[in-house]
Amino acid sequence: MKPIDDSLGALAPALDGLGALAPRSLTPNALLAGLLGLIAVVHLPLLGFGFIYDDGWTLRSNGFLRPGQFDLALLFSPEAAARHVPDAFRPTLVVFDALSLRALGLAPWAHHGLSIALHLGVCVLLARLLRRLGAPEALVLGSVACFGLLAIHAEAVAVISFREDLLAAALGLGALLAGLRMVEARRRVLALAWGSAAALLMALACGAKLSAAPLPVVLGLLMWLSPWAEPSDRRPRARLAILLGLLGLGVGLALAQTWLVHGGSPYGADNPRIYAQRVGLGPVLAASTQIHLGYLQQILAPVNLAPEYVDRGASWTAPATVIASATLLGLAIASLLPGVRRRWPLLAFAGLGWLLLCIPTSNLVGLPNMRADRFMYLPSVPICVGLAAALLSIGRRFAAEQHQAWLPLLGFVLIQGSLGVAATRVYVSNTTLWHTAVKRAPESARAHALLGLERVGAARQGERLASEVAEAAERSCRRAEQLDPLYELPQLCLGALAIVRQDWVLAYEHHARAIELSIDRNDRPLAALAQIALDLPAGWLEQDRKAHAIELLERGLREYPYSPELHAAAARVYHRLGQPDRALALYRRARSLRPDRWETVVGGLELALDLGDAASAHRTWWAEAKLLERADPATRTHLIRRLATARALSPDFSLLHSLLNSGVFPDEP
Amino acid sequence: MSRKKFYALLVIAALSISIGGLACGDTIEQLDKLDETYGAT
Repeated sequence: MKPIDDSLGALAPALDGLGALAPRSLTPNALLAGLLGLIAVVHLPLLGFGFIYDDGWTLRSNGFLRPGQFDLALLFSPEAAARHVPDAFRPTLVVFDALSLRALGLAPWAHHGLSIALHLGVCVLLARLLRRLGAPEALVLGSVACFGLLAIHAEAVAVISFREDLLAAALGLGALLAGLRMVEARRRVLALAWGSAAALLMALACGAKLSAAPLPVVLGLLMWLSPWAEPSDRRPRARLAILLGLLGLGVGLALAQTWLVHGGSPYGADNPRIYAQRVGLGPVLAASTQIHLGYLQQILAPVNLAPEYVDRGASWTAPATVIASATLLGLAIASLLPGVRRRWPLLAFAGLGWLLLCIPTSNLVGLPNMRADRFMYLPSVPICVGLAAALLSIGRRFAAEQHQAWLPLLGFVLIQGSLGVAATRVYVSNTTLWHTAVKRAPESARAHALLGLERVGAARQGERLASEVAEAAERSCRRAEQLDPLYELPQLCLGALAIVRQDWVLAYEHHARAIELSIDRNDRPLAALAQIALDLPAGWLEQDRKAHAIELLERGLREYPYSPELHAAAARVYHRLGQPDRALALYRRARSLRPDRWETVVGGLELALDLGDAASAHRTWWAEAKLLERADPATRTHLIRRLATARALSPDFSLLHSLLNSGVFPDEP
Repeated sequence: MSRKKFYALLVIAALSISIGGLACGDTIEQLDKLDETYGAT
């Protein structure tokens, strides 16, 4: 049996020995390809998942991403925030989303495929980075296996709109690789080119998500610890310093963009969704120490993974906070001790690297979610390297035969992969997600409100809301309101329920309250409020109902120029108020902002029928046949009857006349 | 380890993870009624 310092202290020779276990006829790249194939196969069930969580907000209903609307320059001005462009402080992500939307359309399987490809890309870049740093091949493969199958990554990989984490990791690791090429380049021109690429990639990484910001410091840490380099092999210090400066410049550029667009915090300085605004930073940071100990447990032993966690504060003197703070502080101090650094540099790297990469999501700067599994995507990289080293080392120490040295790592990866696959199933649909969220986080107002909205949603699909479902929805909405009276989602839940019950006064009051409480994403609540205003009892409002509805809509259209649902709702209101020209223009804009929405096409078609233009209505019906197949049967039957009546009432109607007509939406998206 | 053994190991690993994933999960998968939601963050 070998002493532990033989296997972890001088790790390189120990792990080099493991390289002999690999199939002799397979190259390192072939082994890596096999491992990537395994990671891909395990993630294949995601291709059957739908759009969930924020996918609607960032992709499906994000009119800014559509051709003719997208404007790159806008992302570098305060106008992006003023016009409520989703994720405007993440320009790399917005550009990536716009390109992916054009290339893949709105097929969920294709976007899930892209997320899997990004995850595999991060695995490849991690392998390349470790190889370039001189890591032994066994450790490279072990680290990739741990990272690729780590269960806590389920959320980041399974939810399309969380690919910001994957993108930031891929670009960030790419920046480090380019940086290392710069340091090693023999010609100055080459060094300059690689250095510029490193700065650009780091800016893009932070432009996808600021979680990549500590990467330059992590690279500096690696250089300092030099886990694989002999002292004589140290890289030129001057170039390293320049590289760190360039990477820092990249981070600075991304921060400057956020400052330009938002003038400070992207979530708004007085956003009530940031828990520190309610209870102060101290209790939030105290709770954050417990959260980070929880992350560490979830990475090592992936139980209690959840799609939802409740924001909460804690006392610094609470036993849980004291234990968590002492553990984290102990980890940092132990990793910095000269003895530990020299004997187990990879373990020191795992501890310090993880702590550094946790900083952006550590709640020092306010976030709308204090805790999320996806926050651990990039910070898990150093831990995976350290874990792979430790497991391989343990295997080598206890194995009777050389090939058994892989068994601890294999066992760890199989358990992580299995629990990861189980965790991803939560993200198959919103309904499943929020049902599970209520179970795992029963104190979450958001989970109860969104579950309530899902239940109410049955009625919007043309189904009658059964009284049992209505009661269940009301219980969810009420529980959410009780848990957080200052949150807009419970109000929207109660408002939606009131709409289904045709209680317009109550619906108006809840929607008005939701708009009052929310500082963003008010487009659909404004649209709903304007439509409800028209149905209020005469005299209930002090001002004229029509004038009030138009005032609300114009405010919404000014503030949310890229919201397709708001434009379609405004079109319906103007349609109802007898202003067909304005209604038609709004229907067309709504259609250009979201071409896949059948409700907009139905509205436009009904407008043509109301105007007696049977030819235009028929042309639209035929041209949009595929899209209108998704409309509910009641709506389709209603339209078919109206089209038949229009034909009967139009003596001039003919098939040719109709085919030559350009229809309601002449400019096909 | 031969090439065949390596490929066999990958297949066994994939099967183990898939079966393990089914065994470990307690999620009841349900379809969505809505395609427009209020988002969550």
